[in-house]
Amino acid sequence: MNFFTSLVFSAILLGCTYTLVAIGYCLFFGVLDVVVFCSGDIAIFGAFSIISAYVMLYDLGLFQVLPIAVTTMIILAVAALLCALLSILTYRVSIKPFERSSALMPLLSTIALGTVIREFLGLLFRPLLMTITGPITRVADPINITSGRNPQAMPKLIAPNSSIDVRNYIIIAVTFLIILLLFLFLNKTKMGLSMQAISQNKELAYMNGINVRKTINITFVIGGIMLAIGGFLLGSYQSVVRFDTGSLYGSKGFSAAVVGGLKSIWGAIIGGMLLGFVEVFVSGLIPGGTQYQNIIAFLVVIVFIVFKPEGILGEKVIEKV
Amino acid sequence: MSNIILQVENLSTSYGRIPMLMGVNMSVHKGSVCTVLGPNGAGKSTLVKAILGLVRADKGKIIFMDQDVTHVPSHKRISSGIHVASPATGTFPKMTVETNLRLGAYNVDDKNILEQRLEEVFHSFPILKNRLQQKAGTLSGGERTMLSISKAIINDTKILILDEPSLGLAPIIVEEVFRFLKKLHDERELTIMLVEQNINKALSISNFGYVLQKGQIIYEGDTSVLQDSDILKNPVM
Repeated sequence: MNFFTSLVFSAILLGCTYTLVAIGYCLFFGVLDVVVFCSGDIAIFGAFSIISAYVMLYDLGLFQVLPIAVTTMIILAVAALLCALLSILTYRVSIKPFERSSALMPLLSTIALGTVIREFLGLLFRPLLMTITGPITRVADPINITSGRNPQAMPKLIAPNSSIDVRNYIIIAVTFLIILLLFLFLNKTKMGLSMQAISQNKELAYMNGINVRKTINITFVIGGIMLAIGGFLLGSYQSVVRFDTGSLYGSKGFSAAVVGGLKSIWGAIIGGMLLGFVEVFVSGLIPGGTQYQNIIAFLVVIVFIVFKPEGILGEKVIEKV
Repeated sequence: MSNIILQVENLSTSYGRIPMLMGVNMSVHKGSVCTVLGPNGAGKSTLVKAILGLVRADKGKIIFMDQDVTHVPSHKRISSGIHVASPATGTFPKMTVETNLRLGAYNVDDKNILEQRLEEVFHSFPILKNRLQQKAGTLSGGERTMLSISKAIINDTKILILDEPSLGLAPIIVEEVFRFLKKLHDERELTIMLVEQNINKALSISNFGYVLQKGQIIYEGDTSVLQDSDILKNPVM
């Protein structure tokens, strides 16, 4: 693989991880018209759930008994479940109570909840993983836990014995599979169509007899699972997880969603890829560019919203008089 | 079961501190066509929303088929048979006609029944069948009105509430819509509650009328009486 193709490849990889969190923002914004600012933290919570599920399975000795595919499925299922629960909790605690108040309230409360999740992860995972460091390092486990608050090494669940390239192909494949499943769900199932209906016209969705409350809850379950997978892929890509990655990851996902046009899933994909490409090409082509990649990425975001405030695939919002 | 299918008792609602409906009483008899007339801002749409549960009732009761539904969530009221067709806002413009119909029949679980009802709808509005894959936003005003009515009547509709079916339509299309409504009422003995500004059209097909003004019912009576009453000659109407 020459230099240029490897850059494109990394850009798509990074874009994949951003896309998933951007889709999370999209889904939540679609049904609620609220930006759920703790989405990134939910995703990182997912990554930490994976680490702890991994450690626990290791402690139970299941890795010697079960094939890696089965243990991976168990770990992902645990993480998806926990993220779905956290996501529902987010809705119940920080969004639903403010349904009738101004749009600022859920914004503030989700930012606050994001900080709570982040600090909670920082506090919880240090002592928990420190205590079980012993047995794991003894069996030469791929997890090696650095002391202090972070970072935590992400277990190599995806193709543990293969080269990095194979692992990365799998990351891309998983993202595409998830997106494909999401599209099928949104367009072919009654629940998916109801989600779209609520996104287009909530009042009419009510008038059509759609159980809006239930649909919103299910959206949060699905969004939570998407975020868990996003966090998992980001962790696998970077091979470390820090408790505070969530805020930056979240802002990038949010930027990707806005650049794409907040209510469009295709927009989220395009926005996520765009951000991935900008970051990777800045760090790859400019000497010492790694230091500037976030600066330039967010400057690009600002330029985009100046010239295309409705997003690439968004529609111009016409204020009703 | 009594003859009254929908009863609104002393209903009051408000948006924030602004009162919208103040002690509204009305009843719709089974199999009748009842009309609610009133100028803009009289509270007609609020009344429809309150019946559906989209606006909370501060006071009063809504009784549907002898059940107090005042505190029943919207989707349950709708699945029990209250359906609204609102031509102005009743379709999802970015979705196809087919998807719109599917969402309209959200509570119809039996596929055979749905197919059969769709056939009936296509029989009445053959144009919709040709436009199944077209986005609802690309339909003409008349077609959209037909689609929104179709969405409501493919259910097991006990009462059809029409929110301003003539709004923004050419007179010839209004004629057609009302002809269809009359046919629907005659054939299915469907109870219809018509919320309108188009007084003459509305009165022409209804048996009983209410006049709503500033959130209060200021007149009620048989349409034959209402037609000649002075209240409709008021320039505000």
